[in-house]
Amino acid sequence: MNFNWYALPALLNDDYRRGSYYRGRHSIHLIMRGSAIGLMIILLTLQLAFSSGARSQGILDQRVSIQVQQQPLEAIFNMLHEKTGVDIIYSSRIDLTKKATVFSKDEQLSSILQRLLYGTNLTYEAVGESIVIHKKSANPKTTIPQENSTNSAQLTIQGVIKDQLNNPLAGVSVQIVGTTRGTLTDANGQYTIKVEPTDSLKFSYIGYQTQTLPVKNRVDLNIIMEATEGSLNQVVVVGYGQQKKISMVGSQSSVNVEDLKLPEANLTNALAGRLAGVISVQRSGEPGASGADIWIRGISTFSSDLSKPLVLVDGVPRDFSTIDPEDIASFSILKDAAATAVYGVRGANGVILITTKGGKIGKPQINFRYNEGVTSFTKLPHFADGVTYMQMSNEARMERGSSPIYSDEAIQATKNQSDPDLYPDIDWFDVLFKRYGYTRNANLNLSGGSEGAQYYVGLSYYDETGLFRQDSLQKYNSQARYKRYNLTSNLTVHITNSTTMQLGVRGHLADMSYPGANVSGIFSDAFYSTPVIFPPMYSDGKTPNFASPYLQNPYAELTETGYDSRWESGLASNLSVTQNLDFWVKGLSITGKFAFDTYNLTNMLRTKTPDTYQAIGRDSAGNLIEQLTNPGQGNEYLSYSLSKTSTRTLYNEFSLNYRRSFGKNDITGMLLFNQSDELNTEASDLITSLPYRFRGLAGRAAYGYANKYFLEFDFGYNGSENFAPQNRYGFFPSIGASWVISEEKFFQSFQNAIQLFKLRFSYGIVGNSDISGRRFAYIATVANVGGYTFGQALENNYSGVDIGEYAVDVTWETAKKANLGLNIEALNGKINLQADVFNEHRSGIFLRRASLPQYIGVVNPPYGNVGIVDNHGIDGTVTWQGKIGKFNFQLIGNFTWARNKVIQDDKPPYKYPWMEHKGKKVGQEFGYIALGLFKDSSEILKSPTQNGDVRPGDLKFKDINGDGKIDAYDMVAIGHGDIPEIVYGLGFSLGYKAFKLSGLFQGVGNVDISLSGQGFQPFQQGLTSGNLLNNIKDRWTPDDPSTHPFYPRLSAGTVNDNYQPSTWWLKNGKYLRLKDIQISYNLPQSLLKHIHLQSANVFLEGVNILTFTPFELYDVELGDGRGAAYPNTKTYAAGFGFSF
Amino acid sequence: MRNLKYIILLGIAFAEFSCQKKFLSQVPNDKLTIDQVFQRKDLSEEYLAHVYSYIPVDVAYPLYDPWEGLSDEADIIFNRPGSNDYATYQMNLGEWSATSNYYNYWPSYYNAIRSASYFMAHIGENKQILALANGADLIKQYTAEARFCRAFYYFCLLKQYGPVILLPENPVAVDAQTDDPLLSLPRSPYDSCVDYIANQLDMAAEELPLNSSNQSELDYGRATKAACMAVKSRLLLYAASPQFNGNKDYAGFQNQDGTPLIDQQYDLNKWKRAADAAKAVIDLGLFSLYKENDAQGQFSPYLSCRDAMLKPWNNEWIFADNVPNAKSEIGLTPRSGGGYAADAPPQGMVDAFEMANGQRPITGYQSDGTPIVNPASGYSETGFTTFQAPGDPEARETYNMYVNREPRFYVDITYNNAIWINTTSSHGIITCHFNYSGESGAKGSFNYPASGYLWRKNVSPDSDPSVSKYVKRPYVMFRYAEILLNYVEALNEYDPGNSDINKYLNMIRERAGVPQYGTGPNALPVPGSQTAMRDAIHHERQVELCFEDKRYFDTRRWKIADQTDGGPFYGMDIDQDPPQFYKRKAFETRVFLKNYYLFPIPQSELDRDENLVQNPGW
Repeated sequence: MNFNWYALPALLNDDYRRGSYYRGRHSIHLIMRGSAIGLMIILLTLQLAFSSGARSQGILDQRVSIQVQQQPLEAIFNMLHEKTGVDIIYSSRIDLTKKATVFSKDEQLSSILQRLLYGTNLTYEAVGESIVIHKKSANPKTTIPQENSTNSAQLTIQGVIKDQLNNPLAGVSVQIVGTTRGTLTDANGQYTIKVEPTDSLKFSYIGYQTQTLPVKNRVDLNIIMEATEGSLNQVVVVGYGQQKKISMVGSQSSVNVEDLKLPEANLTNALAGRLAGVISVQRSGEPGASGADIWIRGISTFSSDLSKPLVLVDGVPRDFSTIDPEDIASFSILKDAAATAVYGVRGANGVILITTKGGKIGKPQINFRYNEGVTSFTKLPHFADGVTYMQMSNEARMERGSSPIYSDEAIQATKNQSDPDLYPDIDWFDVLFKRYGYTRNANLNLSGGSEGAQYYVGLSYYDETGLFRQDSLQKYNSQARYKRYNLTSNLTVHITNSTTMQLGVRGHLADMSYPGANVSGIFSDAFYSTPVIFPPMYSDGKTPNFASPYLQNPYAELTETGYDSRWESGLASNLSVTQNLDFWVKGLSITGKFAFDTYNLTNMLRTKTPDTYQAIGRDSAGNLIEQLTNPGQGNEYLSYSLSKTSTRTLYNEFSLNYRRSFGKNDITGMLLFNQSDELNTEASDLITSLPYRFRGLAGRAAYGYANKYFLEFDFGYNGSENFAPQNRYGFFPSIGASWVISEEKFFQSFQNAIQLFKLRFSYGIVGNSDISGRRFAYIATVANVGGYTFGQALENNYSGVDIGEYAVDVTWETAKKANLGLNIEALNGKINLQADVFNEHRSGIFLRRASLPQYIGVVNPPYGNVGIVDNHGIDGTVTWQGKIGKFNFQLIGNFTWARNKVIQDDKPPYKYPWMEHKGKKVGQEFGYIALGLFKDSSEILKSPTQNGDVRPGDLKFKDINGDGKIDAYDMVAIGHGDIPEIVYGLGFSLGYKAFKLSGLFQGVGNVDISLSGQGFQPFQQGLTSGNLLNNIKDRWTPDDPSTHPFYPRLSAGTVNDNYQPSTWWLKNGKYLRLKDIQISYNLPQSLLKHIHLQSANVFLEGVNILTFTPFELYDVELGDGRGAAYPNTKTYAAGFGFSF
Repeated sequence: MRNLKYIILLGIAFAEFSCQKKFLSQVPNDKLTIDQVFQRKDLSEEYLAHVYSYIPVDVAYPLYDPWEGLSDEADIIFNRPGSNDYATYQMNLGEWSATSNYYNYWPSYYNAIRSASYFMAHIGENKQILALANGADLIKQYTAEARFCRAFYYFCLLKQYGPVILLPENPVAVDAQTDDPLLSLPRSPYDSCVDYIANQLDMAAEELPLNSSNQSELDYGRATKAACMAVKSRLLLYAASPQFNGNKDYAGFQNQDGTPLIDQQYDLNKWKRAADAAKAVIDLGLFSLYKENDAQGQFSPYLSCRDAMLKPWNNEWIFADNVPNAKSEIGLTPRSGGGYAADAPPQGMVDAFEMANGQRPITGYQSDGTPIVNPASGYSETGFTTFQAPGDPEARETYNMYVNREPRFYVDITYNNAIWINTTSSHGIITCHFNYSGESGAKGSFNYPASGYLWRKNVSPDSDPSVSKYVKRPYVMFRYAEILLNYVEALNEYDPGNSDINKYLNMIRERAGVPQYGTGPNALPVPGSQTAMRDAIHHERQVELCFEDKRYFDTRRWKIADQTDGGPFYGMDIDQDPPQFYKRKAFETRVFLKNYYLFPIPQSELDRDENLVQNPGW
């Protein structure tokens, strides 16, 4: 029953608080300034009212003049309130729709009320400063106190207290603040207490957050208690539902969503190290393309791409990278079979569950948060200068018996920079990048609601600019930039007492711009272009490039190739209706859900190719003599092309839910049907034009006894379009059990130290039906393949057809997963531990049959359920929180280790056992074992023969098969690979008074980087192409025959096997990174009172600001290769947030 | 009970969605299937076109085939470690093993063979063709075309890998079980392969039109009887050659059951078979060497040799790759003409061209690579002369190495300061410079010729890569000149002294505009012995058929590749500008191992087929 009800956001500008006294009006105008291009202005006017203080007695005697004709009682009460300032309290259950007419002049309020209520079953009385309207019938809610006779009147407050799963909570303490008076809730969660209208009530219960609410103006107070973070009463999100943490049998991890609010565009980047079980790598920091790859418990199949987890946002499969973290209510991952079985054929790789925020009962709350930061690269490779490059080029030739390529005069001219056109000395990264970019991030949200309806509306803006330089003469902006607008709204309406409707609408718009040339191409070309090859631009304004039909001048690619604009929009909507069927079967409810999503990406390319020149000297007047180097290729004017990607998805779900407790027995049941239909609306062929469909049935039956023993059975029954009708549906069951040992009698002696000790075990089967690049595998295809031309004048053209894919009778992959878990809560919740050991056996993995010899002539060998991969590991989280005086702290440690092993890949046995991929990790790298460098020619003569020109200072490899020569048969498994096996995180949060310091160290281990590529390996492609890193000094030379320099003897071109994959080029890729650190200060309440804010804080934040790693060449997270990718960025940001 | 309303509504909705039984069976059943391909004429013809599509781009395109870059007639220094593009660079350095899979055509030709076999097995079902008046004949012809293609693909495998696996007539089932013997077939002995291919060609020939002149112009490029005979001529010539005819180096080359794969008995009769096969083509009387007159009406050897390659289906052509793919010209065009200027003939190839007087300029080399100049030739490696080369619009200062060479030199070689073949593009006359700072030199790009030369055979004077203008034309794969050279070579082995030898050899020389042996103006003496004649024939073949994917196989079947393809390779000094540029300099030292005579069978295939043996030395 509520007195104050709040308008929906759309009505914000109305006087939204009826029935209260307006002492004054304050308008707060919030203007957020946009970027330099004057981008975003949010203007919001809020009219806030503040209630008056004490009022004198005798309110009923006030005199009022009022004239109304045929208005509902409710409206008349409002008018009376406005005229008198007296609060008129009534329950929402009272029918005030009766219409009445009043004409009175200077009449007593009591008299008016009497007339108004005449003929109704209602009566009134004055309670304190207010007037309460209630029914005349028995058991009045308010009585004038007879006992404790003080002057003030008392209210009797009644209510029900429930937990987040809508279960009544017995034994909750209800206490009047400042007194010792209180009561407890009964078995149905009900309580009754007499209070003063000015009192506040405190509700507390072990494992739940204490709530304090002012009684004022209320006659009933129904409360939903929220469990404390980490407590076992906490309600956690599970597949298609919610559960109490204590009853979980499966393995689930959640992240504190506050920690996800980083100044980064892509939510995927915030996860590594925060969630036990997540393995993640971020391979690019390019604005708009910086998403991290995420795997839950590593990779259990042959393709890292097909190992991606299923992601559900608000229960529907969706992309989550564009969600603003501010809008997220919960973020969880499901790891084992018990947790994921309900997703059946799609659950094999784990599941990410995200729910967005909804409103909470209470007055409207507005939160605003803004931050602005500067970004810079974590680490760029450093190139050698021009003179060093030239000297090294000469050395590379002279070391192999050739003459130098650069004359002393040329080197001198480069050194002097006497003629930078002809003798340039360019650090390409210096030319391409500025030192700083910026990010800007604003979020405004509004939430609130009554018991009848709750709402949440969030609006956010994100803006990130890349670090490319702009040419001052450039006519348009080709800077890499990513801007995004998000709108999230969730509305819950209780249509009747037993019917609830939820509507969620989420949209985002992203505006991206890039240079006309591909960003990765610019990086490659910075590695291809030597520091002395040409300047970025000639002094006469012409564009340099050596003779080639392709532009390879990285600076010209950045500034002279036009621009690429992309516009992305996504809409995700879901509507669900839940009908409580308590009147039929207690504890039963039915839910129907419908979701509709669209996604569009429009890519507009306006590109050109400049005419390029090569300067070959100067004429007598000193002007450059230039040759056109791309005759016929340049087009100085922009050309236009357009491409689009677009999908729409429909999703339906119907479920029956049952939850009820009988004494100590808790029973839960769920049966759910769902299907989805995703259509690629820009499909280019028949097969991809058919909608991608899934359909399934999921079920859960759980039993709990005395919060001590839990048993759960889950299943998914799913169909996939990939399989023939007879194989189409699969049944994926799982079973799990948990035992809360700490509830046992024998454990009581430990109870002081350990409050909870729980063991979990689960075993089950989940599946995968995704075959990379192949749909409808049960149907053969005819492929359009190469044709032929006949005729003397080549006029008789035939396109070609042949069998494309053979029909195969395959079925889903099955992953058998076992999980053993442990939860410990010790020192009264100060220490929390969750740890899991898992084992997975994935069989029937789709692979093309590699055992078929090629001579049978099948172009695309058919798929079979032939692969087997095992995966096992551990993951865990430990939390320690505490308080020392005014100093409070929380430490969270996460650890994940996952290792996989190929058991069967259908490949025939290799010639030698060490070449075998079975028994190794998926994607294992193979290479030579480098024994070091050859010391002298006699060592070379004594050693097995190696390819090419081998001299002292070249790499010496191990002859594994002992045949006296080094070849591919001597390649063995080397290294851990570039996806880490270990990911860990250490989060900390330290609070002192109003200050808070928090952050996360994130680290990886068991990861290697295999270095390779032009521009890294010196002169790998000869002397006209390929940059050189500035660590080139660390190399073998005859004068300095160091035994383990970074580089072996130089060569011009790849003259031997030095640059083959080998342990020499394998570097440890482990790192520990200060992923995030934030210091914030909460403004004191005394100050906030004056500006009418509930809370406000200011903060400084840093992302990726420190990295500890033995790997020093480039950003270690980029992985294999040479670092030729837009590196991750570090960000320093400052911001503020407030709410009112 | 108003809640019941919702329950009923939800129930109805639930029922509706779950009743869509076709929800997951959405693939339309009128989607094209392979059975329908063989019910319709147009689709079957498209299938046959696909069978033809595996015909290799038999014009030197170093990205697609290694036959120039691995032989002594060219070098492509593009170096892309880790990639199979332009892998001849690594292969020439000896970085090559059975796992490298460089230019591994094993799978693609077997794909082609499967497609051909599948076609032959199913084309007879085509009711739409059978309903035509000439339907039965058409099916016979199409079957024979597929048979020709299949035989040709077997031959392509044979010349690259040696003895191959001969498959049954019908394709092996894709769902064959692992223990199916068809999945572990052994190789067939070389001679069995040759006999099988020859027999298939004979079978195909019976059902095919004689020659392009018996075909509709629209059908040029389809298999003919003459094409079958030309393939057979090359096949039998290769089979008679020392590499496969009693080669003792292959004594231990046998299957696991002991079956020898190369007959250890030298059989002179194989040369007779080869000579007969070539003579059979000659005796058809359909072909002659292409000749063309200049603007003045004079016979022009330069234009004749150049345009023999360029004029589609001229009277010298027997079979051609009929798909326009002139993109190879980009690698042969100087950079100022929009090309890559990367496909370089080494000095040895340049030296092979005779002087205009028919004398060879170089008779041999000292160990340091210094040439032994033939004093009778008039050849000089010093100084410049003002010289107008055949085909050039103007005279210019020309280094004496390139003065007064035979017409085929100017048809085939682009040397420093030469005029680019296309003189009519928007760029006008382009002068090619391969010296260090020249327009196509090493200074400005990784695209440059390592030897300081480009070849220009089969480059159209009208092509202009700078504007992506390529003259679309077929590429001749079998031409009459080759048949003549096949004939004289085989005959000289089988019946030395036979007058046909000199007669047909001189036909080539006469068209090339060089003095003939024993006849015509400035006649040269007829080579006096079988050995001398063999040398003359081999040399003629090197020059006449250069850059036509022949030299690689010739040096191997003659067993001379260890001399021609290993050791230092010379060119001009591309790190210098003139005059230092005009100095011979080794740009590369190649490794040639005995096993390189045949490509390795891919190791992965050996891993799959336990009865498959590797080629010797790999």
